[in-house]
Amino acid sequence: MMRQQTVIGVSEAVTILFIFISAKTFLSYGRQFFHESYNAAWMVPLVQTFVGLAGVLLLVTLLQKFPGRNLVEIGEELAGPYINGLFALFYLTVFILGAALTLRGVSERVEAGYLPNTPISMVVLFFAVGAVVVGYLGPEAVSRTARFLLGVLLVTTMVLIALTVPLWRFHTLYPLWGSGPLEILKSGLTSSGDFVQILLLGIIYPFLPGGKIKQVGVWGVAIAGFFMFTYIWTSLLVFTYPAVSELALPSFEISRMVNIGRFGQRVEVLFMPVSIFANLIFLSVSLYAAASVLCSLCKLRDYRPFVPAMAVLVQTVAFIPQNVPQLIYWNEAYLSKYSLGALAGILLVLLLITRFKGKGGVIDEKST
Amino acid sequence: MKKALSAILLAVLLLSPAGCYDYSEPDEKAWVMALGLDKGRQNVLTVTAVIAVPKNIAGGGGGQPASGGGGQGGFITVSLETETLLSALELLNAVMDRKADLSHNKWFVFSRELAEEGIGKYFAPIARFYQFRRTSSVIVCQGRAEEFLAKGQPKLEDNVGKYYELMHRGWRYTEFIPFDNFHHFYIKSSSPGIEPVAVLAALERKSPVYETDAPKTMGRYQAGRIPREGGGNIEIMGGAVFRAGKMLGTLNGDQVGVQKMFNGTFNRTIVDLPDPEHPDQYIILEVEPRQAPEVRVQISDGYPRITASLKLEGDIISIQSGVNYTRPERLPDLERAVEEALLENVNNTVAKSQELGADFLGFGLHAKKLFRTWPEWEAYKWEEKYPLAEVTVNVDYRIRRSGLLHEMEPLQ
Repeated sequence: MMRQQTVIGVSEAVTILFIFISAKTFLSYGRQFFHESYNAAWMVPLVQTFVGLAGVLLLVTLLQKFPGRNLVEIGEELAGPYINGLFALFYLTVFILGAALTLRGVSERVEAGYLPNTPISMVVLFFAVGAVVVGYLGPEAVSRTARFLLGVLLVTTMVLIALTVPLWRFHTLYPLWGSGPLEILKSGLTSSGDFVQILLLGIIYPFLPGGKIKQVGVWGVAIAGFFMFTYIWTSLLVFTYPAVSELALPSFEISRMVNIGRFGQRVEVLFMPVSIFANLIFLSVSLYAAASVLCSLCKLRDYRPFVPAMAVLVQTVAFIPQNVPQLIYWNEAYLSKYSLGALAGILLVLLLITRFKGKGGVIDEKST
Repeated sequence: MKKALSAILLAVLLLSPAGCYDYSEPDEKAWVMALGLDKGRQNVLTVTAVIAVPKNIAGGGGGQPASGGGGQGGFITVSLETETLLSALELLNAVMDRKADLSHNKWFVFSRELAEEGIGKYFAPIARFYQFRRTSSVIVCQGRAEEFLAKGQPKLEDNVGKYYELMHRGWRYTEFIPFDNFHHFYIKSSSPGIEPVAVLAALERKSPVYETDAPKTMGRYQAGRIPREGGGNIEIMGGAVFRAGKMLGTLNGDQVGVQKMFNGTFNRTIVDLPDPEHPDQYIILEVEPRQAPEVRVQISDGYPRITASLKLEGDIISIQSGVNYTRPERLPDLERAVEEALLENVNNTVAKSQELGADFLGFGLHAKKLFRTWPEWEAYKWEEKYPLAEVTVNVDYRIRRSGLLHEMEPLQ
């Protein structure tokens, strides 16, 4: 029996990109914004979103020239196996380090809030097993699972935010410019790596409907940006600056603040599934994407043998940070900072090679 | 075989997290409902834990509470001498058979003596601890917290947690109980431009508070100085003003009402107004907010000039003299009298805040809109400038309803 070709619909692709970028809001995302931009931290996700959109346009420009091929294959053709090997190493680092820090982060969140006596290795194992199963089933399964859970994610988030409205204190938005416009811009640019997950587009590009890559990229980034902005905005209004800058897990603390009378307290457990879903999807996508990069690099046809191997690697890396502060610091230092800049550099190099070598050339894939 | 293996794997995965490490039986926990902190006698702190006794809360059947209706037996208190607050939580297990848990804690009670020394160092560890919730209330009690909590028996409730929660919830329908819970207390403590006010509480005073029967508005009272007989042992009224984690002074009921008006948490109060035509009799009116307070701050010669307007409304509840103030042409007289009475309270409260050097009215939150960046706002040093600010407040009160009577006939 012939295996059907993998296809990801536009809404599934937008969803998976949106969740892949924004799952970090359920961890310590935004913590450093409050230190850098003070009470104007809500502007930083907006700056990041514009930078992310610019990155998407750059990526789309390259991908559209090579329809049906992913970023690793394009790199191989343009830059050759050795230089492309370095590029692929960067892609792998983004996926594996991102997955490892997320795996540890989400497990530590469960430890901190719900299962304080369970060994961290046990919690990590649970997440890893779930991610391996979904990741092994491939991009279609991941994207459809994500699309299915999108409603739960959005409704739960809206309910959570609505329940905190009585706690909003708008005075915290003043002085309007926080640490100053330049500092805000600097914070947004240096932390633009929070959108490095647009790299996923380069991996799933061959499975997307023709001519829709730009639409998927722009909508995925815009919705993720809005989602991330909403969480920062809500955290800031509920906890106000400077108290908000102390929080390790702002989104978790928001859910603990819900209080709607004597019987409407301690409801954070209702909001826990959202963070678990989002991060499990993030982990599954990361495992698949890392396996896919290796598969393309090794010119193999089936990515699946790499998924368990990637899971083992991710688990190993997840335990390298000695403690939670180090985990948060590494995430900020090695992923949030500059990684999108590095990706943009790779894309620019590939685009320049395309121009000089005169390769590619199919600008509008609708014609293919 | 493959299906059986999958089922076993799934069962192991699902069952192990539920039962292995973090299993938790509610009837094996000692639920701490309140924590009290005093200066220690044999160590740094005396930490008092109020622990619910669930079998006495559950009810004795036939509508009779197990505790006998007076709340007796609904809780026990344990006072421990420790270095820190949270070490007491572990030490509790030396004297309790159940594991102590703070998840349902309602009150953090600090003795006035400790509060005046500073409680900032006790806040950070609490906020970090996963069992703790920011929705707890912060109480400052006159006298020692251990005595306050031990004697604070609820009269209407068997559930001491409900009692504590409902006591503080009085902020919704009285002016004299501060709104700030731990969350608001904490964010105000860390933010320049506003200072927090904790709930002031005390045990019932047995000896007479006042020596004469001269008229006194109820808003002048505060916890520990309410002339009364009967009721619960605990009274909460008035507030404790803090700055930088240290208690600076107390507010009476009226002053807390004004603080709530400016903070936007005022809901209603009742004003006993001496009758303009019969000064020995009273007109009783309800006062509610009509709009959010309008506050404008200007800075001239480096110092703030604050103009505020409080827009209120309310109903006539009672007119003892029977004079027909409800006629349209007489209502402005009443409105003016209410405005004057409220303005006196407001001016007293503003003066108190400037005297304490603590902007608990939150004028600073309006002032910071004048600044472009946070460093500029911090550099202005509002806390130093506020005591010298020029504050002008206008009160605008409108009567909306006159109750179930319209025009009264004099008693014959």
